Amino acid sequence: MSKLSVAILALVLLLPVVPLLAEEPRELEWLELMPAEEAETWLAESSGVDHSGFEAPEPFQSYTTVGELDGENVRIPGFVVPVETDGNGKLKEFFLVPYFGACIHVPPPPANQIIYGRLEEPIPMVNIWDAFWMEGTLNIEDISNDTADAAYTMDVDRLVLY
Amino acid sequence: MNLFGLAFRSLLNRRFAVVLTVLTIALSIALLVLVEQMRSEVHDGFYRSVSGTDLIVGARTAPIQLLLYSVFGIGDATNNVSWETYQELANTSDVAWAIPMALGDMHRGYRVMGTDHDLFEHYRYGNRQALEFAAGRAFDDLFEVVVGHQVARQLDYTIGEPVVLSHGTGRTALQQHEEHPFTISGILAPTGTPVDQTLYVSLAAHRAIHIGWERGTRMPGAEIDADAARERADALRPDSVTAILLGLNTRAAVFGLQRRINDYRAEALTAIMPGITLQELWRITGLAEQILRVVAGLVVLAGLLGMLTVLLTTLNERRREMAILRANGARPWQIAGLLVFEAGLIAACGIICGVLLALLAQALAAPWLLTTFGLHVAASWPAAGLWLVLAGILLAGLVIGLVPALMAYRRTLADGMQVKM
Repeated sequence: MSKLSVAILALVLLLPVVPLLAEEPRELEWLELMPAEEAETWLAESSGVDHSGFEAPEPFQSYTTVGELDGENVRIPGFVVPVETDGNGKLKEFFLVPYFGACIHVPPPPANQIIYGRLEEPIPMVNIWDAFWMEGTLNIEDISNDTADAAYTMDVDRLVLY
Repeated sequence: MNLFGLAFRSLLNRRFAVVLTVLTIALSIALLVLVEQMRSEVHDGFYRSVSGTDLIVGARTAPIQLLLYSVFGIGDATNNVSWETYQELANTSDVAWAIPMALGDMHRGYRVMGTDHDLFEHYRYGNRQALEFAAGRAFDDLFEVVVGHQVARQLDYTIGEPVVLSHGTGRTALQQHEEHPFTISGILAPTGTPVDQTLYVSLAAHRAIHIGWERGTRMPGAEIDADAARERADALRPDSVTAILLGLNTRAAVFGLQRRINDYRAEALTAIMPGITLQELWRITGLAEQILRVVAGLVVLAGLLGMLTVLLTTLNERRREMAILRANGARPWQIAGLLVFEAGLIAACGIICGVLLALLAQALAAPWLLTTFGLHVAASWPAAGLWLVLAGILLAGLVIGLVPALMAYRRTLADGMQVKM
């Protein structure tokens, strides 16, 4: 009871302050994660995908990132692909991807269309067939290996049903 | 005497019917708790078993099937992945490490896996924990074997003991690899995953014990003797592996690599992301889980209705009791309160006994689940959500108690003092 009243008190006291401290996260679109010139080529190419034959189109891989987005507080909708749990079945780390699952006619999303989300506090496992809003601070992490040099990650504050 | 004391003594007086009612409710609650607990424990157990693995690769098969036979030892593979493909995958630039798994042999009911040192180095379970040795070390010599925690415990094995592997995945071994006994070099620390139920040998050893089996059964005299095998150890390698666990340099590359593996021309392969495939598995079992939940819910309802029946039938027999209470100055609302309190007491006892019963059942089922599926299921306290449901059931019990209470309330005024029994 005392905990609750303290929480309520804190909430009441903080309410007027909160909007000043934390600005609303900006709503981000997936294509904003791709550098502009790349997005143009990407759109031009992906419109010509042939769904009829046996040949799968060449996977379009891109690890380039948009530098200005580093550290920005954003919210973005997508699907959760669970990667790590905390050992008790709770979700800890995951990919957020713009579309779910198995359209095997088209290539998978390029690497800069994927955000690797990390949750400070593990949450109960979510349904991979539901879309979620992911809110948090977007980071660009340097990766030093042959295939990639940078990738998007996010310190996730909130994961809410779309 | 206060209301509670009266209710308690009255219940004590009718102890047989009351105990049966409590038992009915307890059983229904136990079923409800057990269904819910087992579901979440089994889910957790599965999630525990794969950590840090980005992709699991096997021959073309259903994703769930691949996950079950590679990681959980449930079911068998229909096909293997060729050695060349394994080598090519392991050397792909995106791949940081590749753990090969060659299956198909057993030892007294436990799986034997041919693998290499990458397993001890890179395999992760639970919260990214690496495998640790409780005693000894990894296999070094060709005929050394590392055993899981449960294997060592159940079969009472210690370091240095000789072990004979058997061919095929049956529980009883008719065809043994007795010409090649192994020595236990290490015992793994408990993990609470299928690792505890597995024996690990090197890929070369997995090949060596199958020399002379090329025609599908052992050809006496065709097998290689231990020393000759040791000499050739560097050249010994299996033609194929059953599955490969992959860890990537860049996790974001997983989607692209998965596609390239699934589209691989030289061999029909399946690559799965364990997190997604587990959810697909839960989606299939989800319907059965829902049905179990509904059944458990209905059984609880039946239990509560049983309590109502008992309270109503005894109400007639208790007219004299009520009359005496009224004669001694009890008000009608007190009589009604007495009955609601009784119902609450029965429901509460039923819930407490039910939860204890469920915990007991879990504790009893745990060893069986561990040996059969390698799943570590601890008897755990119900989660917060389940407590809410139980509180709801208690409330329902009190509401049900209102029915006899109202009847008694109305009746005591009319026939409280009449003697027409």
